[in-house]
Amino acid sequence: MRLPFQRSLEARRTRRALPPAVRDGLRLLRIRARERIAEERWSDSGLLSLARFVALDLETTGPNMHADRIISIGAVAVAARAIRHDDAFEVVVRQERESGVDNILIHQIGGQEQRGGADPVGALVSFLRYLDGAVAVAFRAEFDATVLERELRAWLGIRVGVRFLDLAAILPALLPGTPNDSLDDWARHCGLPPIGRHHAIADAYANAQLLLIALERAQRLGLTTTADLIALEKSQRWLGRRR
Amino acid sequence: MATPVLIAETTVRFLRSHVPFSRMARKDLEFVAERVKLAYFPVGTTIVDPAHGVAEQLHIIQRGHVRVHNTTTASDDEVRGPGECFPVAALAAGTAGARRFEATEDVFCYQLTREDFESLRLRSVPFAEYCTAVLESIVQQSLGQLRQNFSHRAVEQRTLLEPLKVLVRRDPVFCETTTTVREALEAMRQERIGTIAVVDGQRRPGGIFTLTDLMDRVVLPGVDLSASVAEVMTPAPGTLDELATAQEALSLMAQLGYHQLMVTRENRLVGVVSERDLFALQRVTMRNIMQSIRLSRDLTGLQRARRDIDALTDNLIAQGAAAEPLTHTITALNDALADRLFGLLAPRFELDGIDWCWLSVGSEGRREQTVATDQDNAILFDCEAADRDAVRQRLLLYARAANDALAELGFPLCTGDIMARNPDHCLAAEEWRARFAVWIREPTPEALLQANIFFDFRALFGNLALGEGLRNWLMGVTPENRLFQRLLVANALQAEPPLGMIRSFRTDDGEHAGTIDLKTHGTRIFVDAARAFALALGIADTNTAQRLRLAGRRLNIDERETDSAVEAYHFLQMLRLRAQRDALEPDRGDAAERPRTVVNRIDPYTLNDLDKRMLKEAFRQARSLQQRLEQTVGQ
Repeated sequence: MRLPFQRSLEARRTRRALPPAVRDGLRLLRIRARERIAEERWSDSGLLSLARFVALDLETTGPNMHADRIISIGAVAVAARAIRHDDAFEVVVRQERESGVDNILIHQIGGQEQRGGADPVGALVSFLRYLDGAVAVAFRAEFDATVLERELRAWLGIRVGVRFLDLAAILPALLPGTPNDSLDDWARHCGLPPIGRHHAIADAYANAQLLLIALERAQRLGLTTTADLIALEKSQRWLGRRR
Repeated sequence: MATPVLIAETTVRFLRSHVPFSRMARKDLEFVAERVKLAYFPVGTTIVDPAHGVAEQLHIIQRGHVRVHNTTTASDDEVRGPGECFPVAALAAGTAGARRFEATEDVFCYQLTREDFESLRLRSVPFAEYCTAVLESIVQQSLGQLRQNFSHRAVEQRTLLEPLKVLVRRDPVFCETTTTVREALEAMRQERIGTIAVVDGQRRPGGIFTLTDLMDRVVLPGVDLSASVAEVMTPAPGTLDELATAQEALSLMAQLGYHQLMVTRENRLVGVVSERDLFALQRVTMRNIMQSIRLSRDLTGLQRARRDIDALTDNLIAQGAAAEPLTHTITALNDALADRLFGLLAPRFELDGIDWCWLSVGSEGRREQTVATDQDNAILFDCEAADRDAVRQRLLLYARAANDALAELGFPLCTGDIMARNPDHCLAAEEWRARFAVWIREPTPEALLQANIFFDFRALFGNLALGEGLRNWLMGVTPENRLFQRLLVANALQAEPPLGMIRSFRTDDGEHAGTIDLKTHGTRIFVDAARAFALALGIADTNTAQRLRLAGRRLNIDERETDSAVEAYHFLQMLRLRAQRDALEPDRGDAAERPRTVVNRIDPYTLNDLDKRMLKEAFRQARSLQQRLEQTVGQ
């Protein structure tokens, strides 16, 4: 039986067990997050045309968002409506045990590379530092959001509440009448050349390009702020449930 | 954080398949890949608009097409596709540009900030050359791509035979004759210069005013500073057209004792060249050879110089020098060599009192010598009609020795015997005139074909004024003769550029199956057309490129069209030079023994993609030049 507060107690234990350097890093991130709220461009009322988004993709050990672990994170920033090559992030996370053969085949990250990856604590901290409070953009974002939050809690003992924008929800609203379903469908529909398949950074880059198209459409439809875009996503998700 | 490998790698791979990036070093491509942004422009968006002010980003099209609208001229719109950049000229010049770029479909562009664009120009020579070429002429772009391959070296190999136009880099500082001395001095102080050009109301050079003049003519005599500059300037400054060569500028300076010359175009001032600008042109190696030629006392010394010339030429070709400076260099050195040889030989013959000059004809006469050039020459002399045969005999003795000595220096005897030692080509001025008159007044196509090269004569040694006299007479006669002109045109139209209907090129069959003759089907078209233009319009110059430029100007043809034709001609020359050099035996014997096969054939399908494209464009230029000739002179 689970005791009340058991999860928060566990989280606190995890936090206490972190090396001092990591704890200092997290403290800095918290301070930074508070500062950010004061800065207009980070808040949701910031203009779409200036906002920084981080298009991201996670590769995991399997399809179960409640149990599978992160193998790698790929992310690239979209700021002022352009993909920034100088503002991108990529990390392969060290695994205690490499994922199954099927998974290796899909992600093409071999067992050796998985075992040789970055320490999960450091990887997650540097990712948070890179994200810097921006809205994360993913395709079927619920998956990425759930996995990321779970891993943050497991390794760092914190709740960040990274805000996600789901391309799978907003694209049909912005480009109506196109029966696309998967990321590949959308990429093909928009004529994006694949730069590498099922690789975190490749999919993140594809997400970023789709986001550029989406931002352009959104502006044409009169959406001007990040909040507008998030509201659109919410209404789409609600519609999606009704369907 | 550094750009993830996969993103950088994909970007580099994309860039590498497009000009000019294909020529750039990997580290420079990585520099680009790590700094670019990728932006999206839906169909119909204006990506770059001069109205938005100074260009801030270089765009490299990643996907889709962009239409270029010229906002100043009503020229045809052009379309750019993946891998192409814009607005290069505006960025390089730091201006807003004059062209608007619009997405004709959904477009993705890599963007590079102006700052990074500038650093890229500094760190990558191929990129800098690309920018320069774009700046120079946007229409010539397809041909310009070739030139970038060579221009890097060519910059160092500028010769004194370059037109001044190339040397004039900045706009001249000038004032009008009505300006006061004070205003003129203020302008000079502001520009930090010691010399100012003085022009009249039509911007025609009227004089020059220097700081030395200030002392001699203003301060010491106590002239009022409110006097007009016209009263104290040096009037009648040395003036040359921008198409004159640096060599001519140097000799005019020496003649007049001036350190500066006014460079004009249609008599209007376009620049000022100084002695220093010109001296910078002379390259050490070429100067060394010139020096050793001048100091040679016998044939052995000249043979050594000749080998040096060959070595230099080989080097220049290997380094990829541009065709125009290259042929000019070869010609200048060979001229000096011949000049020295004739000077050494002359005292051994009784030529005293004979008024004569040595004529180069054909490619030598046009100053377009390539590696394998055999002798084409003649003699022109002037004397009393009664003495004619006696003089001819004396000159023929000399000519025989000269022709043989030239052969020993590695210029093969002409198989058609178009040489000075042939009594048919050692003629008095009246005889030459009579001969030209027959060709001009009663031309037949066959005779013209033979006579062609004589029209490209140039005096090389002896009394050069004789050659000039003959040229002036000729220029007075040929523009009057319509029949002659029509035949010249017909002759120039005979050869057809080998552009195929099905494949890109129409190659020959039979003995030389699969190849193209670059001379017959390529350069000769330009040479013949240029000659037809020159003779019809009374242009005295013999050089093909110069003839085309002058004709273009005379006929008010868009300069870009002329430049494209000249570029195309030089490209074909370049391919010939390369083929000829490749065919030379690698083992070096004595210059005279060295086999000099004339190779003009290439298999176009063995060329790389860029060269293939260029070759096609060059042949297209040949065709449009022919059409232009037919429209203007052939009617």
